[in-house]
Amino acid sequence: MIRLILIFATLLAASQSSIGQTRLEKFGRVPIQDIEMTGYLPDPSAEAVILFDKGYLDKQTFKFYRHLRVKILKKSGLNWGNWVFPVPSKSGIKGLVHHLEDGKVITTKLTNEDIFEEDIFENYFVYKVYMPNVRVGSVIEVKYEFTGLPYEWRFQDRIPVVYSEVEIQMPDMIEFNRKAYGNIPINTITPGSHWYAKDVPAFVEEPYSNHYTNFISKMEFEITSFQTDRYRWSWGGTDRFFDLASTWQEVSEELVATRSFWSVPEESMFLNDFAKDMNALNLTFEEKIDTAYHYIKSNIAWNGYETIYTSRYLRDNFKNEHSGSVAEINLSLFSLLKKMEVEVYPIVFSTRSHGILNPISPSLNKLNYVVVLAKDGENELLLDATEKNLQPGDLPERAINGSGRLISEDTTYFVPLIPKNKDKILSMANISIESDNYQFKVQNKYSAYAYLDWLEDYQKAENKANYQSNLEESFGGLDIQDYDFSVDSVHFVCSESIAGSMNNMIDDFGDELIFQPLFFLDLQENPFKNPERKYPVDFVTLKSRQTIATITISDDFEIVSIPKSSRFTLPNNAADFKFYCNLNGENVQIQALMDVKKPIFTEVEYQDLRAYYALVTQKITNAIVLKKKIY
Amino acid sequence: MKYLANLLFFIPCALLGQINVTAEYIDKVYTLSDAGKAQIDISYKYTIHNDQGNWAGVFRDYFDDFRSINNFKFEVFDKTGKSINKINRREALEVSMFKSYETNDVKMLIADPDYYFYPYSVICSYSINLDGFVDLRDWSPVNNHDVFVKKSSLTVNYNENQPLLTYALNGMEQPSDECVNGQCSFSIVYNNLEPIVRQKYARSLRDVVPRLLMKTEKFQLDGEVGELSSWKSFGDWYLQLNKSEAKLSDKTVSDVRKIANSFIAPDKAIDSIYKFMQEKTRYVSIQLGIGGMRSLPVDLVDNKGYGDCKALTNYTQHLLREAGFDSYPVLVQAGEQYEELVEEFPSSQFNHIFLAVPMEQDTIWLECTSQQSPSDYLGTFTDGRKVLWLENGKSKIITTPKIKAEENLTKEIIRINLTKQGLANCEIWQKKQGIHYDDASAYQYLDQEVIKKRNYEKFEFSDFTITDFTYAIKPDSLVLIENYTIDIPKFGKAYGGRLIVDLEEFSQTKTISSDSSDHYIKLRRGNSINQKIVIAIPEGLKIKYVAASMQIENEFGKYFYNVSQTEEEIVISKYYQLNSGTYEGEQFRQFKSFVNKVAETERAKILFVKKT
Repeated sequence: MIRLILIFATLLAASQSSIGQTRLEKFGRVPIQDIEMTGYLPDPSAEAVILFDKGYLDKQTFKFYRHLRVKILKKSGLNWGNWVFPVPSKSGIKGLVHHLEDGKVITTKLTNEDIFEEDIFENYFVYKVYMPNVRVGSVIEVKYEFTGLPYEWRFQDRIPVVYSEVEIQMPDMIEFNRKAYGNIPINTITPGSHWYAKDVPAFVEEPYSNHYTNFISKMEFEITSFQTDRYRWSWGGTDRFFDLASTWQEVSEELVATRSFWSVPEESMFLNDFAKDMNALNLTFEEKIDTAYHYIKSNIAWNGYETIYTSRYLRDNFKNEHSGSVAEINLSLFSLLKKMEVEVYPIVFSTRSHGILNPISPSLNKLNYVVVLAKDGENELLLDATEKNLQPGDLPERAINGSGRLISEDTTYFVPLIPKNKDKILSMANISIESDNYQFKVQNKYSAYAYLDWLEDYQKAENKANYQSNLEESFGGLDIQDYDFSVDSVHFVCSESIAGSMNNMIDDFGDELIFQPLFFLDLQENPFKNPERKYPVDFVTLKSRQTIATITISDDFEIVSIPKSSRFTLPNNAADFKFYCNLNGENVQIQALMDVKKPIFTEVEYQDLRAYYALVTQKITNAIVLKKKIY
Repeated sequence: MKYLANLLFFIPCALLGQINVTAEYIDKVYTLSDAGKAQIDISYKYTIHNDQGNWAGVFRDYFDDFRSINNFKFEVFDKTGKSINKINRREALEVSMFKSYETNDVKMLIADPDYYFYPYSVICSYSINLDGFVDLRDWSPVNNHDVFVKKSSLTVNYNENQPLLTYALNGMEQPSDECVNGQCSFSIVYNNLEPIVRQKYARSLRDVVPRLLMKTEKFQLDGEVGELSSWKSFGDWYLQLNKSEAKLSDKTVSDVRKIANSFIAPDKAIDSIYKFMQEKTRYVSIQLGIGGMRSLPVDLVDNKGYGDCKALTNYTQHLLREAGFDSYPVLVQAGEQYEELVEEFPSSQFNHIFLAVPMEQDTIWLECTSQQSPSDYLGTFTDGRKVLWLENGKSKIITTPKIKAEENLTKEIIRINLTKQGLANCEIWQKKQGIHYDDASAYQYLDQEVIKKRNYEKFEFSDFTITDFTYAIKPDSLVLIENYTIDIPKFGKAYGGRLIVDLEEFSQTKTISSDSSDHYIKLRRGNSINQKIVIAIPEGLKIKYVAASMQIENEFGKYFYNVSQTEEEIVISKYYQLNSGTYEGEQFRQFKSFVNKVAETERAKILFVKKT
């Protein structure tokens, strides 16, 4: 895309050489009150504030100009004196720093020696700008320019923004569309081309969130079509007239016409033999899926690149280097399943760190990921073969991001990106309380997403001894005498068994004993302690914790108190918790079933979710009280 | 189906064994020519067994103006031994990834086959050409845990009139060389080294693996020739390299003199000049060319108001000189965790520089890269370690002061108002000093909103509200004071007329768990906490159980726990001090039992019952 814009811009420059006049405010003329300002009333804690930020795309030159002023308010804000600009040369960068000294305004100019070129990656240059003489109170002013349309304009940043404005004057033969994100009001000056926002608060990140750039208030731009009298533009290897999509139908048609996307089944002759062998076996739908999925996984691993197009090295990457992009892996899977006569479709979308796909306005640029939807009547399964520890139906976290678009020759629609499995732990515990001898044995079964978490923890610990020691320390005082696990690498399940003494976890008050029977669950602490929340909570997957504990109490003790059974459910059944505790002869039976039934909770639902977790953790940490019998 | 699946699946070897990588061979040949010139030929073959060993399948090394990578060959083989990928110098990635405040010439060369089918092997060979160096760093036969080394060798060739000096550590024998016709060489070979397992409480790999430090007697960097025969000669070279005619502007000189003249007490004047520097400058890291060693000139810092550690230290030294104070730069290995200096082997073992101002009684230490730090504050960044004091003809190794355990003190008073139902209102007053003053910098750097959010992470109650929070920073006395007011609805747990209170929430103790093998722990800094918890006894209740007063005092520290009660309240006073120290073997086990005994007492709950 960048390449296309550059070619086009050179062309324009050749045909129309008049330089358009800038619509930006006078550079260097900073109002004295901005220089004198010592704090920002709406947010006294701000370390710096963007006083104004204006961007303008000139119709004639097809150049984008940006001009911004930043006020430094605290020492911690001095870093706002360092900037990185991805512009083609340092000559376009101008900067001034103003501050007050003995009542006079002193202005220091940015010079060439403050700008450093950096080749960050394979001749992709950026310029690092160290504004001179920046101190608390300084107003920093920068402007720079580059050719082309920026892909986004941020109205919000990590410091407050007083005023931010962007104007896009597109040359006539170019059409573009835009998408607005975030919850800060953006005002229109001229419909379709000119907007501003003011008094925008600083963005502060929260835990359990999607990527912060998905919440910041911004506008994204994309060229949808352009034409000239003399040139035809080709795209994606076809001979079609260059016309970037402006409806999802057109996106789908464009992709169907793209060789490196839709024609992969024809390009991947190397899959034919395996498909032929498998077709002779008369496999069921599930068997076909399993076989194809694992064949792909055992031949090509993900190299980290996210794209929806395969490269021309597809065969070599698959057959020899065994390493490829998302498209090479998942479109190979798509091709293989097609060859095995399974009904399959590619689903295209944008990953979490790349931003959420806007369902209303389509965008080809925004697509950076592809997975496969396999269908057998009503039975549908999403497939992504890039992660070795996932199974058919599950997606890696990066790919669980709203909905993806199904692409096919005759129809196109949105498919929600919901994995089949949950983050699930099943636990069985046996606790035995005899006089002066308190033993426990817990068996945990981690599956799907919970398995991934377990694996990560285990690999971090590096070995069994370290992992066991981490467990003991996290349950301060636990004495594990026996730890073991086994991994089912077909279904990605870990079965773990922990046994030991609870002596240190029991409070002995002389004639009474108290202990928490569910001490081993990962629900001892409420993850949502903050009473306020600005953005949604995103668990990514559904959560399920199912626990059965049997506590055997010898007749040296009399039971004084056991936790009360209870059950609660969030509105619309978004989550529920069932807790049963019964006395059964000399045993206490506890069953705790916790299910979070949707992955995303809005900031409004947050209060309910927080209260839910508070109740769950209170129940889980509830104790049993025993009295020692005196003979 | 099952059979097919087994054939196709990856077996997670990581879970089976402790060998992540087999080093079939690692051969390094150093060939030294003129001062500052050397070629290092490296060739290795690794077999990678699992995900945790994948680091060995990726080539990474750096290059810059003084260090180039040549003759690069890299090839990947699958488990059958078939070559599947070759990456040449042009295909390898050149990457520089620095933060927005950093600029330098160093680039990484990366060759990543992105291959994950185990086992597989990589064979790599390349040469590093050094054109200017201070020393030759060090060599070890292995640099990672869980690697089985079949063979690792070092060969060094040099000329008799450019002698090579070595220093062997961690059980390595001092190599003996042979010279024929003025050409000298020695070799070291290690075969079949068993993998070193990563343990939780253990010495760092660097302190365990045989290690050889190397340098030449004369060295050269960017044409500046120096000698590493002593710390003094290294210091002289460094000062010579940084000699500059550049001057401060007249205005700065007069500003500084004005400041100096308005104080009688020298320490006050120094403090003010330090503050003047902090107001006027900010830290950025610009290290181009020989910039890793040579400072930006003082007039540039004066003009631009920015600089790296060398530039800002040099600038501050100039400011102090104008005010009539002598000060000396100090080279250090900075950071909370750091490698111990090998004093016996003068060489470039530093990554940071700061300033020392000798006074009649004492020395004032100035960290010039911080805009917020108070003067004479070393913090965890440069405390208690060997550093090189730079003074013309008198450079020497000294040790920076370390704050005593008793002075790294947190004082805490917690008042808890409790109802019969368990609802608590807590007022927490905290005074942090010594090393804990480091916490103050978070308050200076963070947004109020972020501070408020983080406060909620400091407590573990399932449901609570911080109704009030204030703090005060006293940089002159290095004190941070914090006040929290918290409402906790279920602080006490009611069980049929009993109320159980758990004070572990307010405890900072941890348990140590380890298996029966030999372990090691190093506490670099001592630490102490003085805590008083006052609980108002709810109406109608009385105390049935509370852990009895106790005290332990030994070489590891002190723990006093004292309980007193009246009708209205119960007061728990605690003092817990952990001394700095290094413990292993039996001592580690004793240390562990001391720490765990304290944790056990801290975990004990209080039981209230109905008054009868």
